[in-house]
Amino acid sequence: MIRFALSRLAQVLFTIWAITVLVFALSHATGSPLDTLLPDDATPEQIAALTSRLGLDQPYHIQYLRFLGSALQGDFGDSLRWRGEPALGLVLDRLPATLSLGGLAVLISLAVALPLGVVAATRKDSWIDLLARAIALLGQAIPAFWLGIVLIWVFAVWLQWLPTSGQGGLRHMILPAIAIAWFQIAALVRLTRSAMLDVLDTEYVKLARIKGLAESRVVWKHAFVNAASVPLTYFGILAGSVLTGSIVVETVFSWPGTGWLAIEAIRGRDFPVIQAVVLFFAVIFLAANYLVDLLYAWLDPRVRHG
Amino acid sequence: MAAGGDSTVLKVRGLRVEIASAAGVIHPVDDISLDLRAGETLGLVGESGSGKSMTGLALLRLLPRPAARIVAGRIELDGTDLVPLSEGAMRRIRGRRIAMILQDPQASLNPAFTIGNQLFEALRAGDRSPRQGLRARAAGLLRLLGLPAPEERLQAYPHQLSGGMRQRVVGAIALASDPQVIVADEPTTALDLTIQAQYLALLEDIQKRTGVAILFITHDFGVVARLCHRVAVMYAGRIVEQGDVRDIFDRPSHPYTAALIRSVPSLTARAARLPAIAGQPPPLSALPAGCSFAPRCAHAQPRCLAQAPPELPGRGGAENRHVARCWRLEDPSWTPD
Repeated sequence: MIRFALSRLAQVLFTIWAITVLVFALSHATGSPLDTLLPDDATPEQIAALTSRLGLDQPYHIQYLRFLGSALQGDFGDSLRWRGEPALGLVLDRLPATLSLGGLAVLISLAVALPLGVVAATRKDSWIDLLARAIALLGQAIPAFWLGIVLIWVFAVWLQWLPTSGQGGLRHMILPAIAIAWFQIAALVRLTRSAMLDVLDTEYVKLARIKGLAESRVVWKHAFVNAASVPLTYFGILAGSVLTGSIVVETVFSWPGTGWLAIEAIRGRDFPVIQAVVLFFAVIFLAANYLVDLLYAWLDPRVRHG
Repeated sequence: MAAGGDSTVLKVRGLRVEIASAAGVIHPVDDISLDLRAGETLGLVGESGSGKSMTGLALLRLLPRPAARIVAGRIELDGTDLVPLSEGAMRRIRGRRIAMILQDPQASLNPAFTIGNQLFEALRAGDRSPRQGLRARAAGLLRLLGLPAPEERLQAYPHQLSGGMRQRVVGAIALASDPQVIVADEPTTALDLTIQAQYLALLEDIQKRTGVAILFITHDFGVVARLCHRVAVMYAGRIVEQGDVRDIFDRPSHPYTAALIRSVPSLTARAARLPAIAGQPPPLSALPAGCSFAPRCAHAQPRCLAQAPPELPGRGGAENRHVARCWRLEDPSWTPD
């Protein structure tokens, strides 16, 4: 188990390093930040001064090593758009808003999708199975931003039950959380249902019934624990989509999180903030997947001892 | 051999299983009657698709739902008819009074839990006794099944055991709550020949100690000769012959049984070529009007094709409970050899 954990950790670190290279390369491929920082009538002297202050006159590998060295210390430079603010500080400031929204969305999707998927599998072709299949289909067909707009229109504008946008209490989080959870529910229901259908057909589930165990024990212990590895694997991707999905939904709902920050930074060609956001997203995404790998091993003794 | 007197623990009468599909209604188990006495092993023999596994599942009321269901007959376990029982009542009988060993030891243990965990479950299902002593009883069961170092095995996961060991664990689970009947569905088919012989010896030994009745489902006449006291031969969902193992081998009374025995390879008499039975079993959706075996039978007469034969006394005699479904038995001098 420890060897397994360490070798996976090495893979995670390598991936993060590869992403730093990509982030660095991409941010230099999209044009110079000087264009947005300096007025159109800037003198050559002004341009040269800023270029050397930002280190843009150095060879690329020197620029990269500098970037990597500071990034390791959490320093991505100061924001160009929000002057004087450290880039990482901006991301961290916005993080609680994104995490609370994403956390609520994940809670909603787990609470809805797992029971629904399991029950749909145990009662195949019943009305509840048909409902689960309809949700799985609709969820993957409806994009989050469109659903967000429809939710605002129905529940905020028309029924006036909930606020349209902005940050406030739990009431402000319900609509954006549902918009994020919708796709996750669809995918999780489908995965849970098909994994359960496979496992319910196995000989060991038959043996559990032969033992005379209660049906709830057969389903939730003998079947679900084995089927869970499938939705669990997806859960890592899910944790990532909480962040990346937040970009669209936070913009629709004017939710002041990291997703919205990313959009603003891209619009302003704010390299330090973009780099901080992307790397931060990558680290969280990989950390979530790493945790899932460990959980997966813990659930499946064949992986644990393998 | 079998315990005498009327110690019948399992009495099946007219059992019929129906599968309704888009293709039509079929009866993979059709009008089956069996008697199983305490301490006795009954071999249920047939080709694949003859309905023997379906019969085993029906006895525990574990037919694949919702496709298959019991539509007629009685399954009396120690005087209680299981067919009309509710699912809850049936669950209290499963594992406690009637248990089952499945064919594939690789697949029948849950990969996510330890041997101990899965055995404790079976032990606790038997009675609601406290957890104390569970570990000792579990280890005792594994020892009974001939597993070395049983205490350590309790901590092991299924993938850490060999196929033979796993099948012993499955046997231990079946025996956990001291059932009256064990249905063993080809428990040795997936094992190596040497392990197979050990396992059969073990089953015999356990039966002598506990007096459990075993319904042994197999397609292997060699295993039948080795283990069983009585034999029932299935063909196309019906039992075509039933009797003591000696009568079945020495005086087979149905042409199908005789043909099956002839096709068992023998170590002593070396035939140039094993005789095979010509043709295929009929599809259950299109059974012939008369005897199901008649189209393949060398002894068939016009009546066999027109009218299904009743159960007639076999050549071993009715007093030995030897019966077969063949019209030709009406002629006492006829033999299917």
